[in-house]
Amino acid sequence: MKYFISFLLSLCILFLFQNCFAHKLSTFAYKEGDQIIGEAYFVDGSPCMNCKIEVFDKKGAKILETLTNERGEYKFGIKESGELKIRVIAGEGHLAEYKIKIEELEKEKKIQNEKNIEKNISKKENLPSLNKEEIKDMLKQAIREENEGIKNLILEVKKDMNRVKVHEILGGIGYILGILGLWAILKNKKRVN
Amino acid sequence: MHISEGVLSPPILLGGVVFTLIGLTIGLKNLRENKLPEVAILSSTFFVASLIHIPVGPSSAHLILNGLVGILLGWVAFPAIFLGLFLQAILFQFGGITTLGINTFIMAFPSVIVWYLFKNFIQKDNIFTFTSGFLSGFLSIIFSAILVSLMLYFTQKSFFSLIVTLISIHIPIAIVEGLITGFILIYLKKIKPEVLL
Repeated sequence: MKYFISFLLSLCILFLFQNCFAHKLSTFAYKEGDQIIGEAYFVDGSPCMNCKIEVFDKKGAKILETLTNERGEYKFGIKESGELKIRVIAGEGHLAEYKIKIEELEKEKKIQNEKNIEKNISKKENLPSLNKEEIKDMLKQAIREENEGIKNLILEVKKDMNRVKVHEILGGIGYILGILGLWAILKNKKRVN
Repeated sequence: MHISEGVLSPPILLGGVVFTLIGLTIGLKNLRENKLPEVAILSSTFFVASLIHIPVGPSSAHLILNGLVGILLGWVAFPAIFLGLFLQAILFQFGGITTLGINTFIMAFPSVIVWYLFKNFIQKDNIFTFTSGFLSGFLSIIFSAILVSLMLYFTQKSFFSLIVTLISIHIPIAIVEGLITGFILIYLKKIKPEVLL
């Protein structure tokens, strides 16, 4: 038994050195302008290359199909609103799903924002050379650049959450020993009775 | 080897649950009290082994060690593997609760097959022990790969290419597992021969 335990421990140590994990697939997506941009990756952080992406609307009907690139990224334009389901298929039984909500209110907000911008422009007379569209594009560009860091951070955090932690492994082993120990106690009680 | 949730259709999942329940019943009936510590250790081994990846060309595959569990436990492999898979599903989301039945069947049934095939050979010569250990480690992976492709075939209908890919991915890992199982059996025979009975 001693030897088995040492074997088990050496497996754990091998795990620590290797820092490699099973093929669990995850995906994450966000909305940017009219597009949905996402990334699909395995639990060790390696990208899901050329994987099939299927997008379903809230009724479950397939809207479109696409592929990921070699960095595991995908993007597609979308007109539908409501909840979308993105399904990543990596073959051999690996699959991941992600739900994303697209708000219908956005159009109204857009119109309001445009009106506000127009008002602002009319107030400031030293900006007549820039029209509404140009200002909008500039703002969008600036916000996108600002958000890039935060998006990467979120992606990193998401990936990190999926990583297997050492305490989970030790906890799992503890559960197994505990459950079978309980079983042994119950059996023993029966025999004594 | 772990099939994700949402890939297979409900009838196959249900079939997996039924087969696993049968296996669990037989396994628990055969479970002797003095074997319990061994079951605990092997179940934990199985639980940890799935986290160890071995790079194979562009892809990589992880250890399963269902051959080792099978040759040492026989039908009790079902409860041992079930327990390991259950904890993998709830702690790491490998596989999932709805696919627990089918995944247990895919990994534990080959263990039982290799136990029937090789249980009579492991107590003979050292060469016999090693060879049967190697073959049980090797074949259980190949059987599992065949079972996975069969299950996927029922929903995807591209059996031939699937079985070729799955087996070719798993041949290196099958060899590694065969070597591990063989050496462990030789070692156990030397230091603790009663485990092999």
